[in-house]
Amino acid sequence: MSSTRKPSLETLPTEILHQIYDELDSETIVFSMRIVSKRFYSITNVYNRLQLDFRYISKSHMRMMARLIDPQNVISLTLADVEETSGQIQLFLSHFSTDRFIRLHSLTLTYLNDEELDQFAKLIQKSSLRTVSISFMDPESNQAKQFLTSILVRETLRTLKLGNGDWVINGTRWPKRCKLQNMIIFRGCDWDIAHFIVKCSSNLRKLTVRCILKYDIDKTITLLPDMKPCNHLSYLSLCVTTDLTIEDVEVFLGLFPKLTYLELACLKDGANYSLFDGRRWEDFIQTKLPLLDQIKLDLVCSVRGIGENVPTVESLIAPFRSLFWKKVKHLVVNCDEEYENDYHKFHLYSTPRSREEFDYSHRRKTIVKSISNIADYNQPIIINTKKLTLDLNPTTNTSIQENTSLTRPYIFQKVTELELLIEQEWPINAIKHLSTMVNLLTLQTICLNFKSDCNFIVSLDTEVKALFEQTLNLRSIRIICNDDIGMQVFVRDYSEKLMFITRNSIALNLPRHIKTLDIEVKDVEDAKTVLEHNKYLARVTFRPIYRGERFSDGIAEWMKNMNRDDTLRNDWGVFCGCDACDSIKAVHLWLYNKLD
Amino acid sequence: MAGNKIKLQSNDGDTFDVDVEIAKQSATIKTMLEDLGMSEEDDVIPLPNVNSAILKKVIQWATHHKDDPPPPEDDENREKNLSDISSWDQDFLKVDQGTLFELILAANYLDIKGLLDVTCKTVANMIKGRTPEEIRRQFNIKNDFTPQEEEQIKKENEWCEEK
Repeated sequence: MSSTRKPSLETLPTEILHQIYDELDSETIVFSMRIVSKRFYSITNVYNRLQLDFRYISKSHMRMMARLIDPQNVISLTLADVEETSGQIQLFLSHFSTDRFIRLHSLTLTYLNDEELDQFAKLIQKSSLRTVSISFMDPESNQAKQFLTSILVRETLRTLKLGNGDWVINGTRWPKRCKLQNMIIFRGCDWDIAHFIVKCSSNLRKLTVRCILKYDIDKTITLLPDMKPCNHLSYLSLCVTTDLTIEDVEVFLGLFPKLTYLELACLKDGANYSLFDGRRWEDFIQTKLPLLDQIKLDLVCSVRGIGENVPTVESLIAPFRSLFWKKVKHLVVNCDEEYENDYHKFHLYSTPRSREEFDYSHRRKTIVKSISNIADYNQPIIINTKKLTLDLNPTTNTSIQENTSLTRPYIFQKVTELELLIEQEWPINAIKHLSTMVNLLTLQTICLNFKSDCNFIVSLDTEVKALFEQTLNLRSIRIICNDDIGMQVFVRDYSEKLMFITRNSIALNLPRHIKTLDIEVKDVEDAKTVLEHNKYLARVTFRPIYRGERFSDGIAEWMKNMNRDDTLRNDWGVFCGCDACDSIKAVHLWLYNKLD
Repeated sequence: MAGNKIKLQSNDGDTFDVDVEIAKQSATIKTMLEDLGMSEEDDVIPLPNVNSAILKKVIQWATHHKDDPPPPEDDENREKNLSDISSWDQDFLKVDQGTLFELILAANYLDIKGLLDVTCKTVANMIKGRTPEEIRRQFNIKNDFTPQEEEQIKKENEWCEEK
């Protein structure tokens, strides 16, 4: 490194530039960096750690990517055949040779069809996949189960994320020599299936289930004769949305005596607060889970009425003040009480708080008392949540902070999906305030939900510009000006004016890094204006507020006239029986845009 | 060992007393101390590739991060997480481009994985979503393609679109 001439991006060594590439999306690498200069052209062509994530790519860019990259340079591939990118997996198969992805380490497939399984089977055979994330269109089909077995037999497989839960696991042949070390199951999975997986996967160390089920909610879990303790599992994370008692938990956890990490979130808002029993937890952990080093709890229960049958936060937190919790397990536990409409709702949680989804909006205003098991605890409560709902109004948030924890601010550091509820006023410095509560750099999707007519004291353009400048990883934005009640959109008197303001300030000023837009529109002309202003968008969802016109036909006709090759998919609402109405709830467009 | 200091010398002759444990965040320095038998008390460790201003910044970063858990060894399958830059690091890296790239080179030479990660992420955030021309302007890079080569690249893309 010369002390006289300052280094620049251009003069960095190739290995460092490749490390910077590791942090970039594939579109920026292939369509921008590659064309910057001769050196970057060469460096890009030999970069062999490409991670292709096609969730936010336009149809045109996907086709171009197929021609410009060497599949052997790809280590990660993500495809999603969802409503907004309908037919993506098929399009991928028609443009890429799957048998050339020989260096693939990670594969994510959302809604894979039975017809597409054969071609991916070839890819799985030839690569050394370490991580697979998959959900099937028809998880109960024999083909899906056979496909899952073909993944499980791979020697290199270490992590598996399954989107279909029980539906695909039931009846799947589990290979004896499965090398899986980490498994994450989304959707429902019965507790005995979870045990079956651990029993059959002798290398499994970590299991995460969202959500764990107990089909017979009236009976306590009972062990079958062939259910033996599994000593190899050390990490267990469970999210429970059905009624579960402390007895159920003891039976189930007793099957994994070597746990060192346990995370239990019980979000069922029932009246059973046996799980809150800190003394029983203490006894159970000391006798049955002696190696447990880290424990995270997030529990909730509701009690109606007044008087002696209602516990207090003090009585609930008291057992967690023992030496065991404070000095041995070093666990900081908080208990919040909400009160509304004669219901007392108690939240008992350890910090840092871990929760995938968290609603921190007006509902939290009803908190009447909050207490911790540590007397002088005054640290910020960090909530490791990914999906957050928040009021935009700083006054409300300040009030929540005061009500809940006096001087303890809540800080959201890892939010990827944010819904902002906006009431009558967009406050001054709202985005600045937001940036003190949420790490805006982590955001990938944002929803601006206007709950009523909004008075913009400051220019919305300025606020939105400030938001976009701080959300460099934002990919997706949704704007809601009307309530969607069931199948019907509730159109308010003011909504057209509000839609006009937000469309002009937000939807017509989208920066290049935002790839998807979900917006309400009045008519086809509105939709055309949005499309003509946003040539970098990959996906758009239009939600017509008046369903009495043939909105979808109008869009299709415009596409045809413009000779566009977008994919259009309708989301049907309730058919009202009227000839003039096509009952389209939303139109999803996967766009075909040409590169500059 | 806690509280022991070593002397680090920059390429322009300045010496810095640094806690051993802080300095050992640099795998390069750790190797010098452990494998090459350099003594902590007397020897001055010369760092010929790092100037005084940058070394001071590196020490500041390492001091702030002295209690961080070690970064994971196996990052083969780690998810891209550009945004995983703490607010302290964001403020720390509000420097001119030259300093930022010098920090990257210093982190690379000293083998400080955490600092290299965070500086590379910062540069990536400056690039993300930009057009080639915007990147050239941002980093003062000359477009050295000949008109023929530019035409070729354009054709490459058009050919792709037609397929």
